[in-house]
Amino acid sequence: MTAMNRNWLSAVLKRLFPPGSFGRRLLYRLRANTGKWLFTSRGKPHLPIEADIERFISWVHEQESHQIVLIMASTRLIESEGQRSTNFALELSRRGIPCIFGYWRWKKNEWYPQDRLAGGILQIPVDAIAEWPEIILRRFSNKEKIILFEFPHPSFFKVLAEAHAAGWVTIYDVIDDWGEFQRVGQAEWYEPSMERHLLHNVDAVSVVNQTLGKAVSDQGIKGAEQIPNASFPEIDKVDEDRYLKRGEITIGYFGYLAGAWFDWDLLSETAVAHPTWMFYLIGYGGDSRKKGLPPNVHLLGKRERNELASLASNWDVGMIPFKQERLASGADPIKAYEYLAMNLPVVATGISAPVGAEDLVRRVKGADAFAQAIKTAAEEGDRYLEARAAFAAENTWVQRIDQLLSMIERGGQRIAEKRALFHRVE
Amino acid sequence: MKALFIYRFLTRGGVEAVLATRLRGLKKWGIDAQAWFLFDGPGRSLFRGVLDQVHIGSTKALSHYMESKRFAIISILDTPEVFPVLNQMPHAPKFILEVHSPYSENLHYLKSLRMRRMDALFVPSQFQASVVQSRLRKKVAIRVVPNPVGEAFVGQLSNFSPMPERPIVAWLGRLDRLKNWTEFVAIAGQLTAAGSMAQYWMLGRGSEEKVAGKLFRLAQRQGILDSLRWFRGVDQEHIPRVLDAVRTSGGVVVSTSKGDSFGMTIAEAMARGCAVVVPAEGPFREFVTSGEHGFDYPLGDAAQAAQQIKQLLEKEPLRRSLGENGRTSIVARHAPQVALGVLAGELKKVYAGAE
Repeated sequence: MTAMNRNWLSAVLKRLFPPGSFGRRLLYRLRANTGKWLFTSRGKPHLPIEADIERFISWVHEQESHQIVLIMASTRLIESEGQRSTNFALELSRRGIPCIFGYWRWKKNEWYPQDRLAGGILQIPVDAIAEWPEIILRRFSNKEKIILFEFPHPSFFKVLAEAHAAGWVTIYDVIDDWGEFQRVGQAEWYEPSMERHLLHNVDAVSVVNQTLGKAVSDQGIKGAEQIPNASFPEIDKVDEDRYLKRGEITIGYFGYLAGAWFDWDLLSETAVAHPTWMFYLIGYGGDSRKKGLPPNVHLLGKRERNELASLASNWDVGMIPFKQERLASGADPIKAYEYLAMNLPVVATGISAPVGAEDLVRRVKGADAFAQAIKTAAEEGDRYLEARAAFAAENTWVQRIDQLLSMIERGGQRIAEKRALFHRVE
Repeated sequence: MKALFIYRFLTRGGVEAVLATRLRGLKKWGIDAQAWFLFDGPGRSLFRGVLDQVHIGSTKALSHYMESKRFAIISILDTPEVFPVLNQMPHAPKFILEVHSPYSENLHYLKSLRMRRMDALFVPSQFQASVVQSRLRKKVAIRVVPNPVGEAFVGQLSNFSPMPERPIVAWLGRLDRLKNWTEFVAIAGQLTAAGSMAQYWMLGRGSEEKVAGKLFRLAQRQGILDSLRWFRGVDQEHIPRVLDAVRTSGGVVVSTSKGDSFGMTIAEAMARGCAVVVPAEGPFREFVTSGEHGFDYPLGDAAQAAQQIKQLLEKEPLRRSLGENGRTSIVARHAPQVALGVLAGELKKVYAGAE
């Protein structure tokens, strides 16, 4: 029964059976014997995954892990897309830490399959959690509970409040410049005051890079932990040979092909100017600019994670052609880490290099410099092989989860305050 | 003597907190106390340690239970649904009606109440006595029986660590019209506009589904979103720590309630040594003397409330002394050993048939 229906019913009952009347007393009696759900607002949801939720909760209580992590993600859990939230969930699962993955969906009737329950990951749409946070947030009293907000959706106002009340350690993981996303016509839901509310009222803030670190510092947040992106430990593993036609220089890209930051003009101009070079794009995300590309630019579509290393083994250079705008400068592209792990020299525009990889990523501006950098990078050969391998070894999701859990363990920012408020009184 | 307390919902509310304290403490006065709830809910944690004295079921099940246990006293707290089954009882225990609800819609039944079925009527404050009397057809004897604050609130004070970065101005209660939470947001807005560095903690959930959106928009308009920390319903067991955090931070607890039968959240805050700011009306006048235990303000006057809070935030010795006075006063009247002693005495009087 919806809230509106309940209010309507309540008003009708009040009119038919005025308070104090005999009819009202009869109604009380009926209510006492039938259950108050019929007459009062309990807002209990009926979710098609209720059985999965209950099974997961029972399973969690049997686990040795003293922690549970809820990730409020802006994406779905799709391994081939390799998003940060997905990698966090998979790494937590690998460690035996139960994880609830709150996923974004565009339609309220979309329920994605629970294909990770066996690995200890329950998937629930973030909008369902936002509407009924108590279905999840009140169910793990004997665990250390951690909630990671990966975007500042206004509906999370209630989720944050529920999480605070139930003693969850709340973290805002700042992964993008959402204000810029809105400026370029995406993230229509973005509300700057909600992001400030999150920043100032979670127990800890983490950021992916210095650019976003400075942005949150400018908002008065001190001590935000920098937890950069990383690569999947086995991203460089070639499962089988996959051959691609090679050019004089073969350049590749994988990841989201968003018009908001992907510089199609730069790519086209470079490809036209160098017709003997071959460009491959592996990725997803709709963009009309995919049509009418020069003939030496090939779209390979979306590929599984295990295919990437073999496809990239045909490339001489990994590229990140992003626009020179604030949106890209706030990003910490995961592909940079993954190219390096695959021993590819990296040429990029519009972004900062990952910390520690400043010498391994050539950052340039403009089509001429981009082409020149590709040429130079392709001639590098294995000159930086050891440096790339060392960087890759130190920058996997394993280290990132180590860092995240260590931050929580240390109790910095306001985490110790939350613990002190909610330690169990025996 | 066996006593049964009947209440509608087993939630995390103030009445349930009072009942939990009664179940824990009345044994000392030779009273075997049990509680019956018509509907289950999330309030079990309040009764940790005495769950064997808690029963849940329909009025029919209650009827069987009452018959089999032969209680000497049956006390009904704001639960008129059970009146019909009381008439059917073959033996006649003493019946007490306790009126704790401040919500007028929950008090309509008083108009049709036939007091001859009741042996006594208890309320937790003089203010509530006047509210109840005004709704009864005839003048009846109403006994004011003080509420006990929980043992965890009167226990030794301990500093909260780590020290919160900014003083906490806290508000606890249900986010509804009666508790007048919007006035607290307005007060917080006034304080922020006046340059206060305080943070605002609101503890409670709303009865309306849209309260979250309303709070967000109001807090946004008042410019307090950055400093507002909303806890959507904290279990009672954690409230003493919250109040310790408020006190240690140099903060204040505020009520903006337009209707309380007792003012439990303020009594609990005082028990933890917090300075308080309350409306100059309702039950607060019975235990908060302005300038001695805290300050009061005319309900609706957010500016004056903000001024009183500001004064307390800025004057540490004043805040400390008001907090200490408040604690001494509340412990003297509402510590479990005191308030339950009064309740036990009243129950025994009713059982003995004394007026």
